Formats: sequence, C-alpha cells, structure tokens
Amino acid sequence: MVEINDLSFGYTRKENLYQQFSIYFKSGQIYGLLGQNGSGKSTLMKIIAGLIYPDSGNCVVDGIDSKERNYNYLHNLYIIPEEFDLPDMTIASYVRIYAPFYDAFSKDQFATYLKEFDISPEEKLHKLSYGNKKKVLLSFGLATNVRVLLLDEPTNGLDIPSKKTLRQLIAAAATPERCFIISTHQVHDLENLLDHLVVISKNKLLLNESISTIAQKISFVPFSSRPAENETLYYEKSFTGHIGIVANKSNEEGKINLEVLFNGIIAQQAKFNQLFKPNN
Amino acid sequence: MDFRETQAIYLQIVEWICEQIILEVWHSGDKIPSVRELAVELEVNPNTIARTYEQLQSMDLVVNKRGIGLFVADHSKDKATKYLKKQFIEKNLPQMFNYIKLLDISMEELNELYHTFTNKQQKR
Repeated sequence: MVEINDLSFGYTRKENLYQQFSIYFKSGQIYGLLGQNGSGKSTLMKIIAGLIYPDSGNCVVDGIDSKERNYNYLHNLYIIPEEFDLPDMTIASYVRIYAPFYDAFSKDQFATYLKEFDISPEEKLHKLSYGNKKKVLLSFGLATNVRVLLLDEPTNGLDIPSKKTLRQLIAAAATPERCFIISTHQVHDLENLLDHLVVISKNKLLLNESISTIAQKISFVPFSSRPAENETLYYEKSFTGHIGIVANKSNEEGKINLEVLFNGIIAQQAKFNQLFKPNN
Repeated sequence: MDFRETQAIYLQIVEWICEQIILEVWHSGDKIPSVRELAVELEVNPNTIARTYEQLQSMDLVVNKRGIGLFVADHSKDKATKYLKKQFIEKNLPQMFNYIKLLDISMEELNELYHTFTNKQQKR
C-alpha cells in the first residue's frame, strides 16, 4: 500500500538522512515505527505524507507517486504531526473548512470522538491546551476515514484516560483496508495495538518484522543473577534482577517486552540482524 | 484487562474467555462479541482477537455458524475447565511447588490454608 523505493533524502547537502532506503507498508496492519531521537521517523512520515520530497527514489501510495501531490494521493491520507499549528477559529469552523478535502469524512464520527475525549465543538482552538488540541486533531484524523493514517507520537500530551480512549478508537478504526503507521517513544501506551514493528536508525532498517514472528523467534526471560556471556542475545537490569532476550525454543509465542527489545536492537545490531534476516 | 508479561496476548485472551465460560458469564449457545467489539473493549489490535477466535475454534470452544457468526460451543464449560486446568498444571503449579519446597511448607499446612481460603470465599 505504501511503497518507499531507494529513497535518498537529506536536510542539508552534506548529510543524507536516508540513502537508498526501501520499505513497504501493507494494508490491514498497524505499524509501530520506533527509533531514537533524530533517527528519521518524523522525516519518513513527512515524506509519505508528501510534505517533503525525496532527493531521489520515490514514495508510492496505491500506485501514485507522492511527487504528484494530487487529489488522488492526498484525499486518502492524513498525518497527525507531533508539532502542529492550528488556526484561530472554533472547532466547528475548522471542520467546515478542512473536512471537505476528505471524501469519506464523517461528521457523526467526529462528533462522537470529540465527545469521547470530552471536548466541546464550540471551543476555540487557540484556547485549548496542547493535549486538548491533540485530541481534536486525533478525532479529525480518525474521522477522515482515510486509508493511510500517520500518527507521530499520538499519545504525547494526552492524559491517562484519553490514552485509553485513543486505544479504543484505534482498535475500532483498524480495518483490513487501512494502514496505520504510528511512531512512539511511549512504547507501553499502544503496544497491544501493533501488528508489526519497524525500528530505524539513520537510514538503517534495524528491524522490520511482525509481532508474531518476533515472538516466535525470541523470548524475554528473567534472571535472578547476571546472565553469563552468550547466555542471552542481550540483557539489562530489571526491578527484580536481570531480564534477557533469548532464542525462543518453545512452540509458543510469549509477550514481547518492547522496551527491552528496542534497547537490545540498538545495542546488538549485528546479532538481531542475523536472527531476523529474511529466510532465517 | 491487565496483561501479564509472559504470555502472548492472544493466548491470555483465550484464557480470559475460558474463565468467562467457567464463571458462566458466557454460556454454551451464546453469540460471542464481534472481533471489533472485543478489540475495543480490551484495547487490543483486532487481528489479535481474530487469532484468539481462531484458537478457540480449533479448541472446539467456539463454533462458526455460517452467515450468522461465532457461538459458544456445547459442553463449553467442561472443555474450558479441562484447558485451563492443563495450563495451570503445566505453567503455574511448578512455580508454586518451587516456593513450597523452598519455604518448606508441609502438605498439612497447605491443606489448612486452603480450607481457610475457601471458607472466606464462601462467606462473601
């Protein structure tokens, strides 16, 4: 559904953030896009959204190149950036102006979502806090019913009950026709919603695997004392001792500890690369 | 629902549904919630619930009536009990035995504790 082919991009001529980078996102999946600060997550999302253009290579959504930047490309895609500016107007005016860009926008859904987030449509956007603005944008984005929804740090600024609401709204909105790409540092906020993990680090694709394949290949085990050399792929200190990542020798899938997995992949790139290589 | 750290979520939901059946919240013959309904309730990916339902179908706990939906199968309580018992004996009991051995708790003491526990539950 979203195809990135041989992408090269840099904000300056000296430094390329992406070089010959390719990845494919399928429909019917919720992708978790993880990476350290400055690893290029937001840039990748902006490229998919057509907000910035590749220096070379391309990004194709449903057969249309992002460079076309036409109606067919844009009406089926929505991005909720981490940083945003909203115009000085009421929520109702905002919807009147911006909703017509999206064919499948549902005013009923938008009203329901706002209500779930406990926000009145009469409110003025400039008077809202960052978190409440975010809730308006999330409600708007979900109500567009676009096929590609890009969420950059969607739980940032949300209070505890709204994170629960967001999880429920995403669970209700994820259909086989749609593709969600969610970047997040708050791994626990949305972990049970993800189908697939993508870990990037400045042009390198450190992991691109479904949650179930990951769980078939590795498991997370507690150690009461420090694990021996070669006993684990990676380990770190935990509350009760140590937690390590080991090869999963059983036929059963366990639960993935995203935080430990992320740290492991960053620290032991070669080992994880070997393990998750295609055909392995 | 709070998910534990160790087991895949779709399997934890299988166990949760077995508990619902044993506790007679879900009965044989009941239509079960749609994939999306349960995904929203438990705040998980709908594909996870789809996997849970596949697993339940393969365990004959849930049957697919073509065109109408999924229903809790006949004799579901027996089947759910058998499944959870097997899980408990294989996964939880060894851990408990480890502690019982470590702390040197006698079977008599355990028996007494168990009686106190069940009495308390009955009074509720």
